[in-house]
Amino acid sequence: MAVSIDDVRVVARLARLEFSEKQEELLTNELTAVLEYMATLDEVDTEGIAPMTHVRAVAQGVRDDHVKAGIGTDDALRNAPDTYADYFRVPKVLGG
Amino acid sequence: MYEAVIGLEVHCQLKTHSKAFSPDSTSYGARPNSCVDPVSLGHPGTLPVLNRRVIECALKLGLATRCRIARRSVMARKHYFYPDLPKGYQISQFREPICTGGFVDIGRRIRLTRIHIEEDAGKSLHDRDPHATLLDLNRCGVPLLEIVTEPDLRTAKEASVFLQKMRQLVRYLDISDGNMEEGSLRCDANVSVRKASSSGLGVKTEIKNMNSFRHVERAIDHEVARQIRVLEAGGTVTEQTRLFDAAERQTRQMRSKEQAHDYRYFPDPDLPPVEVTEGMRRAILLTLPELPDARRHRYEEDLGLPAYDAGVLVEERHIAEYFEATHAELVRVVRDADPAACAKVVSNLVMGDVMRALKENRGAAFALAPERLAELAHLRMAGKLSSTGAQELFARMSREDGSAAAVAARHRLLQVGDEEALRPVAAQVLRDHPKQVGQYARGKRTVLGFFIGQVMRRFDGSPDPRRVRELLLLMLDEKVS
Repeated sequence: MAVSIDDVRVVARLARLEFSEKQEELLTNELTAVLEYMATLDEVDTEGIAPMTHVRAVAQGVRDDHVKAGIGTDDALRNAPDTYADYFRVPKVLGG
Repeated sequence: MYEAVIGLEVHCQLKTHSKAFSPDSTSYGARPNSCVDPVSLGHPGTLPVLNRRVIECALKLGLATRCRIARRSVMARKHYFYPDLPKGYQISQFREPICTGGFVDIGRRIRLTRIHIEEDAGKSLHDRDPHATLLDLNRCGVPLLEIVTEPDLRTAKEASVFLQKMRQLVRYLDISDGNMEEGSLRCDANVSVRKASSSGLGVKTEIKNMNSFRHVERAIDHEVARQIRVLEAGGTVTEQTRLFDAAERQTRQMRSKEQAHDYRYFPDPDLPPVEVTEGMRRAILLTLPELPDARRHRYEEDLGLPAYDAGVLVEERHIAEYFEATHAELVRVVRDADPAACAKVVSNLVMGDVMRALKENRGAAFALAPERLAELAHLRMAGKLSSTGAQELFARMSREDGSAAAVAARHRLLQVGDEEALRPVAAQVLRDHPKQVGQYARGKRTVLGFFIGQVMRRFDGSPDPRRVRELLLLMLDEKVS
């Protein structure tokens, strides 16, 4: 289960992170080690067992459709690095 | 000859009070960033809890389109980076959606692949500031249903008809207002072309950003033509996402396959699977209203209405229900009522005066309660109102209290049928116009129209013109001979 340097670059791009070549190398080794550790689980025979995505076998955790006032514009914007009027302001984005 | 192969992805914003996973309000047009809370803003350490009404809406639409309902479906995280998505992922359903299969009938059966639950993102404003993008996150977490069709559509027109049908359906089910201008209904299209004789699929492109029925039709037509031009010139279509530019009336490339997103879906550990019991399923099934197609069929078959009338009346659920309430009342009050005859009279009134008044008052309530419209219809059926009289009575009744008969009497709108009332007035008219009587005597029969008009005028237009004509003919013959 070796992670390649290209894998690291793909993941970095998806996460909008930028690394130096040295850092990329370091991460390649570290991520490989993490995945090798997790690969221990492959030794367990899971034939015929449904994947478990949630620890608690809960009944529906749902709520009724009632409105509770949110935190309001001023508080919503309080921690933002940049704002304009009632808006968050971020670097120009184009396309999707 | 080429043939287009089209599949649609329709996003429908649900009519809930609070958001899909948090209790902040979904109201449209509020102050920017005022309808947000730590969950919808994606603050660390917050926990989403699904809104029960969202499941109910999904079940309604799924059952109305004959989908299979999953007893257990899973909320997943779909990751992508964009400023209008503060968590860095959208909660959506991926491998295990709540509804699969199903179909919508547009004259042909269009199969649905799936219907799933997801949350909306915020709104970006790109044109307010030349150097920055502004964000309003009020829409973050607003619940959506995504409806995905099989590639069963063949023309841009069919795609638009399908979308209109979807809009009608979600409005009937009262799960969405279906308003395309406000973005409650949005549509992406997957479009490819192939030789009409072939059954394989060509390379498809995805068109985004179509926010009206007309845009959908235009954008698909342009994209189909573009792909055919590429193929005819010996080129190949490349898989890509294209944006429809309404002003330029063309699609342009947004991103190609190589730049396509890698969403890294996985089940959201914060949200337990959505369980639908048989009891829930059955309870929702019982709340489903009669759907437009069934209703139209019944109007034509049982009430004998023309297809045109039936189509207009069922278009909106509240109008269909108003028509039915009025019709039921009319059938109740008319002795030995013929339901079909009653239906046509009510249909004419609803398609005419009622819908005209609704249009003029834009979305206001019905001008008359069904009982009062039935009274008016009753007078009309009994021959006591002319068509113009009915129109005027409708207008008077929407401003004045009182039964139809009382209001009509107050404004002398009832047709004067009996000879006793007509004869003295007709006699007076003939006495007042000896010159015209002389012309008639000399053979100028066209002056009859003049006399009819004079009599009608003195009665405020209410007598039945045929009876006036008969009476005048008799009286003139007596006078002239």
